[in-house]
Amino acid sequence: MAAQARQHSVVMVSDFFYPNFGGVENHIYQLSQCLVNQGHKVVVVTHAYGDCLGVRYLTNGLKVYYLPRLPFYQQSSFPSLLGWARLLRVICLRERATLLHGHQAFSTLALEACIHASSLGLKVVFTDHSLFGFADAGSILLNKVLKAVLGADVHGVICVSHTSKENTVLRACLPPAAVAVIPNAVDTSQFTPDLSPGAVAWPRDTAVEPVVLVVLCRLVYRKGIDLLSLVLPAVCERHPHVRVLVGGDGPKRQLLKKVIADHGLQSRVSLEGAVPHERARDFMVRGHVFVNASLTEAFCMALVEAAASGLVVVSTAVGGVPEVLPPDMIVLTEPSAEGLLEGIERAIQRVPHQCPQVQHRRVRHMYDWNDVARRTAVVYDSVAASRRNDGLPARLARYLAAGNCVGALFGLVALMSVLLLRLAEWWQPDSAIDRAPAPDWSVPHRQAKLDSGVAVVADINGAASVVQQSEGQPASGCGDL
Amino acid sequence: MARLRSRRGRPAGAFDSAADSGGNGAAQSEPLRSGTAAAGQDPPSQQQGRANPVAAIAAAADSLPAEGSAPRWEKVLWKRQPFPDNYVDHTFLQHLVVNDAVPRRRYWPVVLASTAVTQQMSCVVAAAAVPLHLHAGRAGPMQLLAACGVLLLLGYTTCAVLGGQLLGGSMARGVRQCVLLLGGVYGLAPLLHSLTATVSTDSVVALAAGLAAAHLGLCDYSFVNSVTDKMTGALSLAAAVLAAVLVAGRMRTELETFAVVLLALELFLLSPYARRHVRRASVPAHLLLTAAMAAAATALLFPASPAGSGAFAGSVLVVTLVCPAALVRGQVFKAKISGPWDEAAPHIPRELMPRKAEAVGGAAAALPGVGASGPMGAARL
Repeated sequence: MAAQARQHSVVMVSDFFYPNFGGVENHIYQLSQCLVNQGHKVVVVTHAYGDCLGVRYLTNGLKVYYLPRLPFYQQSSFPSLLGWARLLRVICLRERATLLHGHQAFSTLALEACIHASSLGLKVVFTDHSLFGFADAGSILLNKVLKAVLGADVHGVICVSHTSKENTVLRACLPPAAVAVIPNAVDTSQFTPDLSPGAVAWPRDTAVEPVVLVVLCRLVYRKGIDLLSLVLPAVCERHPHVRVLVGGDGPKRQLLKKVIADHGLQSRVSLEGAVPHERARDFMVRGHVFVNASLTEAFCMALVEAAASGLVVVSTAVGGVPEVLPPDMIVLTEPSAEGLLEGIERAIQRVPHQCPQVQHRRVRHMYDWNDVARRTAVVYDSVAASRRNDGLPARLARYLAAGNCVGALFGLVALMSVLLLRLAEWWQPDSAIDRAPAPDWSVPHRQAKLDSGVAVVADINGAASVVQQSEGQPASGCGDL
Repeated sequence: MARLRSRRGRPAGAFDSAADSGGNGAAQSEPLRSGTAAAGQDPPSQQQGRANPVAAIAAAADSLPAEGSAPRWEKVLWKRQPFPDNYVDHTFLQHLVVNDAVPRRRYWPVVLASTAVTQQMSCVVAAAAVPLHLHAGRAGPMQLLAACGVLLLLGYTTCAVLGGQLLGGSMARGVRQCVLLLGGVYGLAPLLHSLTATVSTDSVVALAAGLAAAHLGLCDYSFVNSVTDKMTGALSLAAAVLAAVLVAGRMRTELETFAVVLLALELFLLSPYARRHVRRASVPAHLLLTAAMAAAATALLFPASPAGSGAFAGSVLVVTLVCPAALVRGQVFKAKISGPWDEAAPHIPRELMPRKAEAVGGAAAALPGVGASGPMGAARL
């Protein structure tokens, strides 16, 4: 094992990265930071967000390439198949990449990068963050694409929950042993209970003292806002001392407003609007119970964030949610109005017995990004040791095994990608490309670099509130607002 | 467990250790040891040299570390478990359900259901053949009007007898609705006659053919098959009526136009209700009616175009016998996968969906007098 632990040079590719906010973005960022801390070299490649174009440096010298690709549908870039193969080659050579890690099946940038990286001879790892169906036209198409790309070009697959693994294995027809399950984690230093003197008091008797329910998600159908709109009037009626804070924005906001107006709940339920991710914890600690009514989730980060903040968590038992927290830390309900109502009742009864600090400490031991990075590095090690035949004929055979039409199409794409990269090699040989200097991020250098880089980082944070949410990810957590 | 993958769905050869040369299997099935596995514990299936991932999984299940009771794998993420990250438990895909709500189709019931399509095709062909006869002079408008009157009376009687109640509540109301229908169409006939005067016949024929195809494609067949209670498919009805109006504009006199439009309205707007009553009442009568309609359409089309009538007869046979066979055969390949990853579909009551509430409320009101208010109500101009 010691012989296998070596330093990898990883290029993370995804359409979804800062300054956009969401589960995938957070995952990539945290994973990259922890891998850098463990001695690997990580570079992130994504598409340009408005003015955010070119090369930027984030904390710890994490280099991000914002490529001039056109975002097409919900921050996913326009599929151009071969349009940026040359660019990817230059980046991989410059950064001395040994491995490419793509994120999210919905990201065309990641899928194309897998194909080109395989043509370049790099090893490829892919992480899927969401659950997809099998029945509608869009899902069928995407599943077929995934089957071709994951089967032929990708050496290792990671999923964020066991349910997500089952889903991905069925969608892409993969052998189950090829898929590793590495959950997301939560930055528990950021999500702590509020112990300051001005904090919301923890009630000891829920019949007389106020109890606050918190909802923090995008207000869309997939997050179960319809269920919530059915349940809120009933909850407010049964418990006169309950108040509800709803954070987040989206198309279903009108529905909630209508329900509030119809039942006269203006003083009990307040719609707070969009809450930026850096203020999510402050929003959550204003309440005692966190309610999640999602209809589908691969791994709901919001639940773990709420549990780390000390709240009692109620959620519909869909997708990967039952795997996320132990039963004594979460109240699981059926995805129906009656079930959710009953779950909220049970949660309210748990409130007096809740110890936020104890719960926070437990969550701190359960989820840790460094652990995620270590397990991911193990996947990298096994993938780097893979001796699969990656020559073009074997790749074409693997594409054809995914299906005749899809195999022919992707075989053609792979062939053209190889030819294009050969042409690029002739046009711009390896020797003509500068190698980026291996950064030395030991502490004294780090301080100096940070001082000079602070302006850049602040620029990104300043531009952060601009961008539209990445709506297309079913499994994003608390960051989706 | 039913077959998860069709023949086409074989896993891509990358991981099929039999397919690839070079012993990739060993490296592939190398268990990815969780970074936090207990230090002294040798994770299962660490014994290598096995190229077969299945054997590795079996080894994982067998050779669990013998430390008192063997730890059981749990499907949780919050606990660190002494299993590799890519460990596959025997409970993997335990909750997968294939084809749970898919009805099994049998040949003869599908043939029976396909008679609705035959009936609709006959209506279209009859509505197309009659203007051809009028135009060629083989029939006169008065004969057509008489036929329309007879059809109207027949339909009304069928609905009244089989529906158990008089349409519109009483005889006087029924007659009043009839008069309104006839009067309305008669009044509009001059307008409809000159509507398409500037459109060439070729365009009219092409448009009418396209609209007839759209009508057949979008028609509400489940209503005639008495599966549903309310006639939907406004678009198909509009297409049929528009085609009829276009064709009626080609007629020479306004009386002919009136007759053609009246016939089309009866066939497309009113006959579904009568046919539905017949279907609900008895299946043999329904089959007889279908055969009669098909024969009548073929006979009507024959003088105008023998080839066309032959083609129509052939297509009736195909729709009745061949298409159901294809559907039943195709059902074998259906694999509807469901499991815990599916998006939950909670029951959201009507109040939260205003548009659907009106439709449902309308259906509920129409239910007791579906024959009564339907045809005449729709014909009220």
